[in-house]
Amino acid sequence: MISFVLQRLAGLIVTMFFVSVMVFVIMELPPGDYAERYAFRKLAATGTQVTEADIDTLRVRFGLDEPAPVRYVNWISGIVLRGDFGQSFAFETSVNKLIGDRIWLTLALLFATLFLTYLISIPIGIYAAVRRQSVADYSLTIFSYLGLALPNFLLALVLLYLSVKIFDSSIGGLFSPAYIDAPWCLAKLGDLLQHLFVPAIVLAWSATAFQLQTVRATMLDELNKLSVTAARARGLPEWKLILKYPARLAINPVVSSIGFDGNRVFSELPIVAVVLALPEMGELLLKSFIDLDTNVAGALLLLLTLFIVVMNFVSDILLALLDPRIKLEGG
Amino acid sequence: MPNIAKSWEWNDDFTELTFHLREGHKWSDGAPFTAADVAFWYNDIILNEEMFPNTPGLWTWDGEPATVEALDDLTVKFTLPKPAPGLLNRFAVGFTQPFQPKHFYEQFHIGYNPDANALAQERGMESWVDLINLYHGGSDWKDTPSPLLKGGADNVVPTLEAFILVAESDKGRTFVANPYFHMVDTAGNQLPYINELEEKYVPEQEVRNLKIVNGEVDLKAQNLFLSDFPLYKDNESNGGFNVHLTPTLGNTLYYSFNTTHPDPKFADVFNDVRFRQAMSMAINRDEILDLVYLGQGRPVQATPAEPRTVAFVTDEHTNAYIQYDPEAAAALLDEMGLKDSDGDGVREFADGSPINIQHFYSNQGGPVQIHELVRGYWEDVGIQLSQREISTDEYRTKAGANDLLVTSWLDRNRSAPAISQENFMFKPPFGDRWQPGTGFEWAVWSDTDGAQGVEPPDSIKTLGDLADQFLLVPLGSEESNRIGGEIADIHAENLWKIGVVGDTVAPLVVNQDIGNFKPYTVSTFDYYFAYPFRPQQWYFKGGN
Amino acid sequence: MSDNTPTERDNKYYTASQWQLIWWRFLRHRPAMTGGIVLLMMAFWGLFADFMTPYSGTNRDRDYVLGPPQIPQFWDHNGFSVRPFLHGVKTERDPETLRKIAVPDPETRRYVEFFVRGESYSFLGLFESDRHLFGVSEGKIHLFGTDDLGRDLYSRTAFATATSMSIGVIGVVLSFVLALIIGGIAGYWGGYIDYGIQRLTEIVRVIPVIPLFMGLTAAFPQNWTNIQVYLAMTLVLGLIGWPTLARRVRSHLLTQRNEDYVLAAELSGASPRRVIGRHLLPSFTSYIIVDLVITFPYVILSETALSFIGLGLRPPSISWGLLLQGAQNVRSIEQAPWMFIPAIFVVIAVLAFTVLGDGLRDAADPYQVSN
Repeated sequence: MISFVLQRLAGLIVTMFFVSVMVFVIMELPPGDYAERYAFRKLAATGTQVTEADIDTLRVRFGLDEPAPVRYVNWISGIVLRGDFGQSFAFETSVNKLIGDRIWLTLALLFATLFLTYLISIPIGIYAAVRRQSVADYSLTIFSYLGLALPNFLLALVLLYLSVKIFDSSIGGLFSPAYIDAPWCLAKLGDLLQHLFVPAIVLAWSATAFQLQTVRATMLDELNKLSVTAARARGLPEWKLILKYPARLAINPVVSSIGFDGNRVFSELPIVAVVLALPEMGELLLKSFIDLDTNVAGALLLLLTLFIVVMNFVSDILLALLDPRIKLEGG
Repeated sequence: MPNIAKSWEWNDDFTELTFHLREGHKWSDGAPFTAADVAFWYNDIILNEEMFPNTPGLWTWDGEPATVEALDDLTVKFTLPKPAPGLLNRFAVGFTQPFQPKHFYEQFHIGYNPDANALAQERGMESWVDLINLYHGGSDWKDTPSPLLKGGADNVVPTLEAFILVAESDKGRTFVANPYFHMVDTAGNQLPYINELEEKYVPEQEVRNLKIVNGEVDLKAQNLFLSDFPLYKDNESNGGFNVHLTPTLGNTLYYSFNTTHPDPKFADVFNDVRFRQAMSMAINRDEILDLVYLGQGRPVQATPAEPRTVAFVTDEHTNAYIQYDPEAAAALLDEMGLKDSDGDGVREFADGSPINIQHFYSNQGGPVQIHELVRGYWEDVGIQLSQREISTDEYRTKAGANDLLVTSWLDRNRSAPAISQENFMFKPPFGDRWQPGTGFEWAVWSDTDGAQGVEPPDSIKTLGDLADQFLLVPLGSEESNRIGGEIADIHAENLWKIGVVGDTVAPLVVNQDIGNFKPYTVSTFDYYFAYPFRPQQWYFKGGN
Repeated sequence: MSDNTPTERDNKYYTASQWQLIWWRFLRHRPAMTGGIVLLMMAFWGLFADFMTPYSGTNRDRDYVLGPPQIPQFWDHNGFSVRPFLHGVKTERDPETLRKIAVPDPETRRYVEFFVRGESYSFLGLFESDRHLFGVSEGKIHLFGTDDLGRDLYSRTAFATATSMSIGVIGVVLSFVLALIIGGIAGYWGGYIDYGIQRLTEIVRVIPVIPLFMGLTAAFPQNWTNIQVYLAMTLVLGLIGWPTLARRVRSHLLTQRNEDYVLAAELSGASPRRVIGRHLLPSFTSYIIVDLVITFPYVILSETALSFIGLGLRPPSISWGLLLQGAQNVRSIEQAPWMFIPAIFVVIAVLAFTVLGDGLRDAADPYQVSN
């Protein structure tokens, strides 16, 4: 087991290395750099004329004058050795400070979404499989597919609108004004949960469509197995029987796709966050990327990807624990 | 920043301006506000070569700095290298602050504290300039990231405003009342009444709208769109707010073809006045007025000054080439030799390539629906436009690099107070970096005395001379109107900027519970959007 | 049917090719059939959008701005009419809210006409025509209402359907080709090549999709025309599906590669390309088709998402994403809900693709007992 974990850990590090290169390349793709933006934004504002030399000076100041490989090494060594993501050009502060509490809110959103997804999809998937081809089965299937088919940005605003009109909740953000600077307490947590509700539903709905179908399909396979028939013959009550054998196995594919779900949540998050004005990482990523604030965008993309890679790692290990059939040296 | 000086006087030829300050006037931390603070701002910040390697052009005259002396604690004198009768207006409506708390900045300034560099290095900065910029922001502008946002700031910068900025993050900022504010009400109570203001940044327009409709907003004016007015109006009683329509100045959207674009194919066509006339007449301004501005406003041509604030811009100027006449436009284009020979509906350049103009725009530069409509109008006369929305920063970067084929923005800085002290709207590039016009290379040519750039046509040279003369005479005088009239004539003949719709209105949302609120009488960039803006007089009905 | 039918049927069953079997099973899968037919209809509607719609996508009606859908009727207080008609409208601006309000005039009738002459268009560049399927005798007809510039939503939805579905098709085909090449190489040669490609797909799979696309679309030269952006978009979207598909192709190839018939082919001197294309691929084509159909919804939804954040198509192109972007505001929710009609089409298309994919998967599964 230990060698299995170590092996996976090594794989994780190799993957992250390649991911960091890829992230760096993505940041290099858009034309222009922040020095130009800054020059026209700041210098021109004071009425001074901007020359190419001014822009070059700024490049030196921002460290943008070095060739790309050098900048990559500087960037990544800062992160790995000192945990320092560099400076944000646009906010004129360190990236670490900027990202600070956004990380926790992003993770809160992620876990709220995943929690909601599994909470809904696993029991309902099992239920739909047991009641196969009933009205309940079909309507649940269609309902879950709706979440997949409705563009989530649309859903976000409509749900927000409804939550305001029906529940009269305060809008947008992750906290009510009263709690933004308050220290953490139970009331603040409750407030956060209330605000997480709309984004989590939006994000969870489409993920649910998948997991529900996966659970249902696996359940159907398992229900036809001999072990179930045998258990039934032994006279086990039906619900106990379902929980004991097929349901446990039906969870496996769900566990194996935790990382995939995380990826999907992070993909949809920026857009939903923009619509809902959520102060989390995806929204900042979108903004800083368009602003060419590459240190910020790069750090965010790297962190989001790291979360996914770690989730994959955890799911591998969970799976190995859950399902002894999986060979530990597997590939 | 109004009401800071008690009185002032000019000398006869408008080269010496003397201000008298109030006795006992205090900064928000209680320190006295004196003439030294004004002199400190100019001599130790603006003119300091370490802080500003190039002295900001706003505060020099033909490259010559002024002399600013504190004659005594309450008297400060500006001596200018040439007459500038409009300077007072710059102090009055500009949002730069021509004084800085000397007692506060002294501790960071190398001229006053020899250890300033050590102090900066202690905080991980390179030199005292970085340290002072942490607070000052590196420009006179007030909307640069504040020290609170940048972190590491343990001091609140003293201010003379009614409210002190005490907390800021990327989510919003908080102000508290300035206990030393210099105004009292008629009963002698210290203003402002409201103890705390909270400003929240809500980046998404629709979330903002939802907050407004839901009554969560006390006051909102900037960045509201007229197209949402019906929505606000329907929700007025629901949300407990009033929505007003404020007249605007200088909100005329314009299109300006880049006459000095590096691609000669385009520059040649754009330089032909017939092309600009044709493009102007191809625009259906009535339809734009109807669809985008809810019928509020009137079709106008772009003029160098806002007609409602000066006498020299006449109907003749505002009505030049604004009638919708696609046939006449097409005829002009035919006459230029721009024909559609392959019959695909798009005219071609002389070399046979189709005329496809790349148009970048930013949503800060006016209602984006107009661009969609204009694209259609111009396509109808055979000129194709490829459009793309980009961020404001990107737009300005491109404009600064002379990379735009056509610019489009709101035609600001043309009201009387603005043109009395700045003439960049009169001559190339017909705007500043914030709202670029056209003829960037012409501007470079005259700035460098012909060493660089592109030599402009004679009309532009005349315009440059007129614009310089305009600043030397007091606004509203006969001489001023004569020069202004000539400038307006040249503009109307040449259409370097093509205006669309003027005299529009802007929505303003105010919580019904705010007492003493007077709807703004004008919304314009020139007066920083809110005028008159007197938050010190507001109060919440029914106590806070 | 008579008694001997079963044997005849059995004979037919045993001699049927793999494709026939799949087809028969598919025909019996009613939801999948429905999905397929719906998609065909949408494709037809989109392909002939010029003819199917009364107006071009940019045609404006100043007398009917942000107006609700108009439903042709057969009778009113003046009696019954065989020909459906609309009431004429009078437009005024409300002095209070400044909104344009179109008031129907119950005394005037505008009859719906078919095969009317209207704006001329060029059908796929083949021929010019000015015939439209329907229109009204006077004024204009807006089945789905109009947007804030008075443009007909029915027409715009039809053109958007054409754009978005074609992007979906091209995108999926591209990702298929990519997956075949990359997965094929990895699966056939194995070893280090396989390991390298495996790592690559893994990396592409862990980076969140939308930020990845943002990077790619931001790199488009900004002076591209709409056509170029459209083509580039399909290319980018084509990149969405390949890692998953490539993994599939690879694992199939890995298992099939050691089969005897592959060895036989190799021994008889077939080139790797021929072995993969001629022998290996056909062995799991059905799976690939299923995967392709399942990829469609993602491509379509990604297009809407990218266009929504302004990184995808832009006007005057009309796509589902752009239409929804126009609907994405409080004003539409509260005052013009018909702006959301295009969303219904997105939902229907995605649902149809999903059930079609499900049906195909069932049909292609040889172990599924024929019922």
